[in-house]
Amino acid sequence: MSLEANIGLRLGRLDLRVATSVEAGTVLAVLGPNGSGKTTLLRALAGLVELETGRVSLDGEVLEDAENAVRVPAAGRRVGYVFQDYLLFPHLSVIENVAFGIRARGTDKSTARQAALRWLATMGLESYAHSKPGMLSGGQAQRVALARALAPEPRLLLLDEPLAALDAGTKLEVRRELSRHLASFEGITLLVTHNPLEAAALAGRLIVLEGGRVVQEGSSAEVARRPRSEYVAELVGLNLIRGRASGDTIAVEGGGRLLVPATIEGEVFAAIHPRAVALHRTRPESSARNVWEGRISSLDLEGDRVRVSVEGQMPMVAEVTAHSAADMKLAAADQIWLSIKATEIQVYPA
Amino acid sequence: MLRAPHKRQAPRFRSERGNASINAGRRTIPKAASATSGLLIRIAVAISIAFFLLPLVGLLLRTPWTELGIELASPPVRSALWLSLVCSLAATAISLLFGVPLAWALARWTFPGKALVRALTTLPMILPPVVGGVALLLAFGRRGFAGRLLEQAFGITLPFTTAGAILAETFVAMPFLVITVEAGLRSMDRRFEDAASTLGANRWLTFRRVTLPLIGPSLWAGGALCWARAIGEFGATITFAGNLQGRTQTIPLAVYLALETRLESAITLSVVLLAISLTILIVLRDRFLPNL
Repeated sequence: MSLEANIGLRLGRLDLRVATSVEAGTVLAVLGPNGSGKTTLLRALAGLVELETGRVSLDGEVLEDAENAVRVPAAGRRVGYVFQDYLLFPHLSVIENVAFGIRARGTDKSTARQAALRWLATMGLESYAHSKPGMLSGGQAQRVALARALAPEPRLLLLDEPLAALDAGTKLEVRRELSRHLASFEGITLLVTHNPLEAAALAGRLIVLEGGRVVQEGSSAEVARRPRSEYVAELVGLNLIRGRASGDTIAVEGGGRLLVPATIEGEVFAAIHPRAVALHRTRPESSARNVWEGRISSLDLEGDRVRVSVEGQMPMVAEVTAHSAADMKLAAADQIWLSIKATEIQVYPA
Repeated sequence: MLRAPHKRQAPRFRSERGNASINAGRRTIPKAASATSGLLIRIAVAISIAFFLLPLVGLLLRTPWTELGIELASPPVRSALWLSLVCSLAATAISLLFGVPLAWALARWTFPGKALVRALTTLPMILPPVVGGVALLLAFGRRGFAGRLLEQAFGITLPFTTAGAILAETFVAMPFLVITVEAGLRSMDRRFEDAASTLGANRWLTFRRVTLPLIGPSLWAGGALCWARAIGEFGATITFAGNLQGRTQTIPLAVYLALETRLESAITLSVVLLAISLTILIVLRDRFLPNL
């Protein structure tokens, strides 16, 4: 069982080109900024928007093939879709919502209702069977949406930012529960998110989408450790520098150079943790081999730490303790010296 | 606490934008002039209210309340009531049957000449009904091109029949349904239909179980407006279907005739129409009077 998708379509300003394949039992997270085409990718897989080029097949069955004008309509695809705002039918009760997909596939009413009730029991929501969706809390609505999508036994489950509509308090618990349900789902799951923590908690593999293209693909840990775009680097809280390496020196794009521990040639990325960036009032006499001067553009207090954004030839975010920030009397617009030990820099080919 | 004596006394009435004379930098209006214009507006408002209220008072004062039952039971009144009910409900049913698909096409499809179709659909709302009646007569009359065809092919004649009255009412009333339902379809979140289709529902099931219930309020409002327009229809009906008691003489036509023969009947039927209008206004109050 697997999903093979090669998707090409244009929608407004978006030009989506994504090729990926996913094995059964896998949860694939799709990470990306707004407008990167995450939702459109899900809609294309569900058959809600038409492909211009490419092909989608699920378990060997061709769902869509633009070149040969093959197109299974959404209703015939056995794809479960949990929408970002759930879209529970407001005029139907919870149990009718869950039974809807079972009924639509031709099961008689009482059998469908029994099955729906079993799903609600799995979600711990039997007592809400006859409520209207408007009466549910965000977390409950999310579980009903999940039950509704799973009830017709889809082979592919699509989740569009399933936790985005929830408040921070319930998010963790709902995420834990979602993770449990996804683990027991035998088909393929695609999960759209723009939260890397969520992706790491729910999915084994992830793809990063930017401007309609896959810019990175890999395990959550790998993506978090070796980001390949500004967007991902910012999400995981790393400084990312791109440049051309030669020997142990990187000529940084936009000027400046970095000395690195390894010898490497060609286009590279260098990832630097903000904690590895040291700040000094005067030019440091330390052993650090990378030293340069910049200007503080902003300071953000995060817990007992301060993230200091420094502009200059190599813009960089440094993280210092609130204590040392106070000691050094750091303020916006101050001139400041930065230093990084070469051993703290992760270098990998671009 | 005492107020400083130089403080401007708060005016008893203020326009929404506050006192114009203290809007420095703008065109200033002397206080006296502002007071005069305020008074003029108030007089105009009072006249308008009286204008809408007095006719109702006149009607209700002359209503033979004690004999209302007897009046309502008299054969011409009864037959007009019954005929109006039948014709207006039939016109509403036909409007629903054909108007909902038309509204769907206008809301969801793109096709050449769509703007023209919408204009055509809306025209009967603005067209003087008597012109509509003349036009219907020229098309569906015994000598009209469509009427002749109907008579030759099916032996159906419309003018001066109950069917003709229904046709005339449908002609003027259906636009109300179409534009209301179209607006409902437009404002509906279509992703609910997407959700239904990912759950395996075909288009018909989606329409029946999701779209129709979701546009329910628009359907009700459109139906009620359409019915109200149909039951009050006069011009097109009398022109196309004539004024035949028991066949085409609906309440408005009966009122018109009774004004010359039996005033009490005219008043009674008018009160009935007034009651119907008020009922619809109350039923649709969320639409027209959101603050009530």
